[in-house]
Amino acid sequence: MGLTVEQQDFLAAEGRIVLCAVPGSGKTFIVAKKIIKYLEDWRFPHRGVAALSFTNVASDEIRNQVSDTTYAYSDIGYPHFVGTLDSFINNFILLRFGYLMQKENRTRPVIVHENFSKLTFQSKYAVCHKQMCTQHPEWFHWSTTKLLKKGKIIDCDVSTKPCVLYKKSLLKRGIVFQREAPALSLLLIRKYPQIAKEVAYRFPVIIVDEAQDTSCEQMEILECLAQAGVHTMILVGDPDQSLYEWRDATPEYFLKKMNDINWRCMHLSCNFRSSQLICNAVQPFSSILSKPGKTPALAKGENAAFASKPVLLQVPKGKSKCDIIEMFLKMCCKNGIAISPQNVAILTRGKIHSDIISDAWKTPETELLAKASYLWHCSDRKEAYRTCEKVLYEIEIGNPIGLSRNEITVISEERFTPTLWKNKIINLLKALPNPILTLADWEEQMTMSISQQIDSDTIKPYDGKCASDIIKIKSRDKKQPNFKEHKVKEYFEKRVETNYTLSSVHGVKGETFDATLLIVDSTKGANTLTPAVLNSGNLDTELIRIAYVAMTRPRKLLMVSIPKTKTTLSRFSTALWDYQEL
Amino acid sequence: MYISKVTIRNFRIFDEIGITAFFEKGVNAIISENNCGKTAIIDAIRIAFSTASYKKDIYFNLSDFHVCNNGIRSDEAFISVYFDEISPDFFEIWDPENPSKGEFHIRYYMIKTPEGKEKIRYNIWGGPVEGNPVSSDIFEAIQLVFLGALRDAETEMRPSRSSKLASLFSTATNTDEAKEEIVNVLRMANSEILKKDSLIRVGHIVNDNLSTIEQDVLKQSIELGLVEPRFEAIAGALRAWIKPRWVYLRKDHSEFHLLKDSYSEEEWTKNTSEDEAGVYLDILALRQLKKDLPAAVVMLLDTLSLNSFELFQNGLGYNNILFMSTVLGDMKTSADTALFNLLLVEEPEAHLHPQLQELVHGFFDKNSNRESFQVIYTSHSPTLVSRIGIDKLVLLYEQKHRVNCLSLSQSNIDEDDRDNLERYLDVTKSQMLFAKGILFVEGISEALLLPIFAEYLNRPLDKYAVEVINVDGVSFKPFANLLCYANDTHQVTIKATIITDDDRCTNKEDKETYIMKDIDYDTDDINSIVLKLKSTTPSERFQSIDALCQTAHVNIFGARKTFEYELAAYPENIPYLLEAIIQAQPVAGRRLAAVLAKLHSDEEKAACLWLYIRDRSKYKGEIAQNLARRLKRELTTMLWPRPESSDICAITKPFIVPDYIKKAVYSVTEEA
Repeated sequence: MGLTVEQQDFLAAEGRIVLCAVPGSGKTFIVAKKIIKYLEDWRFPHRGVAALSFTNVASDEIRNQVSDTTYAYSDIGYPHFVGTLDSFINNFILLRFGYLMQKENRTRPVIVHENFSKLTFQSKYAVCHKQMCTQHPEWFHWSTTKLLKKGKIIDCDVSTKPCVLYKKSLLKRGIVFQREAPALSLLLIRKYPQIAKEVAYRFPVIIVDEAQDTSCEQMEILECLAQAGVHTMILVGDPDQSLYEWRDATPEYFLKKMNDINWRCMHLSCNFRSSQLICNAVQPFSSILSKPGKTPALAKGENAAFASKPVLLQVPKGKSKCDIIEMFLKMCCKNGIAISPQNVAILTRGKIHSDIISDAWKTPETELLAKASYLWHCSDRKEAYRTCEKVLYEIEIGNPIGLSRNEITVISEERFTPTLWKNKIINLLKALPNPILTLADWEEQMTMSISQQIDSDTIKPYDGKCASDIIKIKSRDKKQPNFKEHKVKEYFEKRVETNYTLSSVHGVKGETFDATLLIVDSTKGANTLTPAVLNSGNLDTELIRIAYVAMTRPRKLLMVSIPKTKTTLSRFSTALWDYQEL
Repeated sequence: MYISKVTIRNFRIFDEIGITAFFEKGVNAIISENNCGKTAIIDAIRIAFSTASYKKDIYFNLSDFHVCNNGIRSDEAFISVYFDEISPDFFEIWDPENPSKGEFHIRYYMIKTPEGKEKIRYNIWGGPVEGNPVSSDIFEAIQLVFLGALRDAETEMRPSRSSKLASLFSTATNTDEAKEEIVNVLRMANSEILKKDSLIRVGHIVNDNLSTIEQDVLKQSIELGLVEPRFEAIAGALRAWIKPRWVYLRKDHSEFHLLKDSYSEEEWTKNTSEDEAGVYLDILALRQLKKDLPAAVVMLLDTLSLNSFELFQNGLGYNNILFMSTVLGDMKTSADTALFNLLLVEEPEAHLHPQLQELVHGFFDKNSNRESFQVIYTSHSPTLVSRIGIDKLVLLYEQKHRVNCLSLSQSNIDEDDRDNLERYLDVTKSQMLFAKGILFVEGISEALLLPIFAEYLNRPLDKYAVEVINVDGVSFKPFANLLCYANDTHQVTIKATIITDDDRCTNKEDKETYIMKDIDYDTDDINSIVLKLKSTTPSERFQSIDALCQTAHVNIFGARKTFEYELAAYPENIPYLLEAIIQAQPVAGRRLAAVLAKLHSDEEKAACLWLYIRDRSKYKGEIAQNLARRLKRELTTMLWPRPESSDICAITKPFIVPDYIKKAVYSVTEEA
């Protein structure tokens, strides 16, 4: 396949580069190509290319692209690094040099990803308890200046805040939550510029994919590294596809870099995925492409000329989700699209299952075991094994806080011998109930089998707990009284593949389908997609970006369903959209 | 980049407190008497690097754990290696607080498996804090070569796939094309040689027999050749010969005269050495001397130069050098890809006479002045030690039943001391660093007599591994400082004692006590001398060295006035001294005897004898020799008692070793 001029320019470019890539522009492909170009004549045995992305899925994608293209790079290892931006910062800055934050008893820091082990802190102030702060130390995280609570300034009138004291003591012991890792890393390289220099020497080339999802601190770290001597730093992204606000991501910093004179801004503006009709229809939803003077992305793929106008489906009251789907699948058939999970995707804004609650689990062991049940029967058995190992550790040995997976294994094997420990885990795995059971049935079966294992001495809780202390599920919920009647798997499923793919928008980021349906089923509610938000919501908001990502997935057929409305929808001009009613 | 420090704990001879050895850029030597852990340091370094890298040629064993004096084996050992001027490529062991430095640490520990088996595990980490992983990849950048003490140069140089020659050849032939070229040459040689009838016949015979045995089952056949035409096989077959410089040619050789006539008289005599039947020729010189030699002469010289002999016909020493130069050659060739090259050698002096040792040292020194090349060797050779420079010596010693380590770069010497020591520490004085105890003395008399005195005291110095070091003067300070840690001068290293004269009555300013230089033994006023000697304090020079010793672990014992005065202060010793003096100076000696005979008190006699020797100091050495000989004889005969005599020269009582000498000898021979 011939490369476009834009792609060729990018391959040749060195220095500080921001690459702004529209959906379907083949960005992963060209990034992989750029990486291979480096690998082909790499001459430093102990310095490498860092290929970073926002999620593990995305970085695996890069790895696969590189290894699929050239057999010689089937395993990109030392001296290079492929992984998430988080793991890069953790491994090469915070974990390795974080001991410098401690005055005495220096240790390598530990990064805690979830508050599995019920960390709590003491407070004599009522407000701390009333606001549930003492129960949720994971809400608190350091910024470069002060302690924040869930991203915001701590709003209470306690003068000597117990949360601050507690977090300081954690820091002294080297315990860090992932959310604050970038801020602490940034502080570290500001105080020790030689670290930035050394990392820049270690990685003369750093490529960051999905750079629109970097947080303020992450971007600052990248800027520090660039100034500390990284030869080529490339930030690849699309500000219109930033979806991770809840993880402190915001496209603001990427946009800033696009306008920074010290950075060279390049574009990939051809869409190799969608038809021109789709490209035209989604233009009003892109903050970049809808600017005055900008044109829709130019469709250049094999389906560029596919002549199916995107459909805006108005759904009258009384019609169900099933009706919408039926209609959509019919449209697919009309357009000659075979129904399969690879070809057809139905997307929603949030959870794919409604009527489930987020706080059903009353002990960490319960949640872990439920997750293990799902993993073991439906998804990743290896991960299920590891999850069971963690539960067993928690039951038999104690709090695993701050321990890595390997450390848990080493400690347990020393305690029980490797064979015995393995057998214990396997016994537990075998006893995991099937997650197609309802929550209520699962609870009963799980409690029974744990209780049996305790009776037969297969499991010996270190604190003498009984099975019903270990397995605990919320008994009632006002909003969702029937939550216990839902299947366990619904609590963990992010994506279902039957004869089509049913997923949240987040779950299909970066993917391509022949046909896509975005279901918008609310008319009101904060942080919810509604026709009003779609039509007049600020293009810089995440909700619009979520819709944009969904609408830019299909090659041939795009359908958006909304509750029927009488107002004119200016962003859905009839020239570009085919209005239909169910 | 170089190793600046190694700390070792609970490893072999090193106990829980362990040792810290400091190293410098370039060539370093670890020295000590036997069994103090020189090899243990070298092995600890090897094990540390081996543990960290993919290529392992030495492992940590259960028996490597230190066993305490109470017989209990420890189950945890530590080795730490520190670098300076570290290359930025060593990200994982780099120390951001000291950006030019880096370090890695290994903790070895024992675990018991449920079956009761003991196994060794280890944790390795880079930088100062435990837990930071170190990948093996980074150690690919370090080239470590080790030459053991019992190296057998002959075997190592013998053709084999792992021979040093093969390794050097492989590194030097670093492209596929170059390798292919060599293989092709061999292919051609093989095909040439296979055209010969005899070889064709050999091939037939073997293959015929083979097929008879196999009965067409395996259908194998062989092919003959010099070496299998593969690069590895060729490298493995490579061998070295010794080319003699001088070749003997008999005079009755047909071409002898033709050869001789090709050169002028001067050229011939310069490059040959004739005897009756033939002549030794310097082949290389003769060959290079003239371009237009007759063809027959060229042929003769070429044939003669093919003469060679195998390594086993060569001496051990030369083979050792040959081996070391091959290894270093290999290291240098591959040094471009390595960021740090470390050569560890045990006793490079093996089989080499002192001059060759000096050459070997120069060889190491020249090779290690590149940025990333460090050599650490162990040695028993005072020759090497005297060459290497004080800062580059790591001294191991045993004190109070534990082995400790003093890197002389960390000892309490200042710049002047260092300069002085570099000059003083010749081959002889370097011996002291291999001793258990050292007696520093001022001059030849003490140096000659002390070993015999020690025998008199039943503390023979050789038995206690004590060296007597004659500093030829009174500059004891550099030596005393050298043996002390800068940060803890009282910590005992090698036991050391200074024996010196207190030189009282030499302060010209103090008229009361000063003894004029022009007073000789026959003075009328011996009494005033005696009085002066009694009443005064030691010289300033003595006081200052005495004060220094108070702040260090070095002992000092001063002679009242001088060594000779002390000897003479025991009336029993007078006849011995007189005898020695008379042997050296018969006339003056007898006069002295006469003077002495007239004196009454022992103090007068001692003063008189001292005055005599003070004025005749160039005879000191001879007198001491004579005395030593006499005392040696006495030691073997030891016949007492002997008849009394009124003759002042008659030996009637055993010699008495002066008290301060006795204390000094005891101080370095006492057992804890």
